[in-house]
Amino acid sequence: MSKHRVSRRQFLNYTLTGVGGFMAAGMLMPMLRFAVDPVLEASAGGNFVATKQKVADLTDKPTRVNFSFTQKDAWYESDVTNIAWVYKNNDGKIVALNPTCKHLGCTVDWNTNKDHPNQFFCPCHFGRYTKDGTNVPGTPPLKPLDMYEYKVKDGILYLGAVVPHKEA
Amino acid sequence: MKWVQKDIEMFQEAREHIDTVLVPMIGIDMGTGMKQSAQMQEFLAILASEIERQFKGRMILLPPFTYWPPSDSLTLQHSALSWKNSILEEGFKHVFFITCDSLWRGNEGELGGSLIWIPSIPLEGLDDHYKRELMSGQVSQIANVFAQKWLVEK
Repeated sequence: MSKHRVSRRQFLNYTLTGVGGFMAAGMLMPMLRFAVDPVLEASAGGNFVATKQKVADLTDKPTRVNFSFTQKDAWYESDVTNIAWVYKNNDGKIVALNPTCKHLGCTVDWNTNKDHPNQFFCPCHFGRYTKDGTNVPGTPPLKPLDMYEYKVKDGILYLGAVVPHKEA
Repeated sequence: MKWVQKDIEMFQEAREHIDTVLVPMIGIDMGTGMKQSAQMQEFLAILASEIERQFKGRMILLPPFTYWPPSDSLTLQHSALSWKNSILEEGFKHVFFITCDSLWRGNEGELGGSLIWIPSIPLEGLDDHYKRELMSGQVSQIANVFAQKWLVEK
């Protein structure tokens, strides 16, 4: 051990710097955290929900995929099940459509109208959409079906937020 | 559309497209049939909300028509009928009553074609996935009833 003696003044200096440093850090860290927070948030990238659908099983024919999550609306907490119609388009890209009719919000079904096969059909006011979700002119809906954001992880399809229709 | 402010606002904007009203009918029994009565209510509430989801743009789901088991079913028929007439007077074309209560079986009276009777299925202890499948099966059956009525009118 060295014989270097620490004077009272030095000792107090060291301790005060140390304690002060901790206190400053304690104050600055949360501020820093808040400042950086939006960046961290963005990297999380919305809420994706796992479905039971294996991506390998998808074909060019729209398949009905149910996925549920818990939704909290003020004091009312509920399990919501959403439906998606999912298929692979000609380029092999996945298309996930939200079957909520753009007219008044009914649920459209695939290929249920005998007169108009291979279209999405709304039973309420007979709105129709082609396979890619485009509204058929002359039927009540004025906009194409919305889409879900999706991602693929471990061969399983994850569905996320509803986004307006975009060209696949 | 549900009986909530947001949906009713939407209804008022698109009134000409909505011509159908769905009324669930629920009997309350606090005696020996209490448990069954609750179970029916549970089943019917889920079923009705699923139907509403499917046909949101053409149908209003009213709060349930609730009653105690009556001494004579005629009184009940009358009050249900007065619901129906009031709704029709408001300019709706179709009124459907939906119930699990066996009281209404063979007891439709003048409600006739607007009554949908469906046996309730206990959902207790069923797997979630199976529950959904079962419900969507029921909904699609009932959907046929609506589709036929709507088609006749068309």
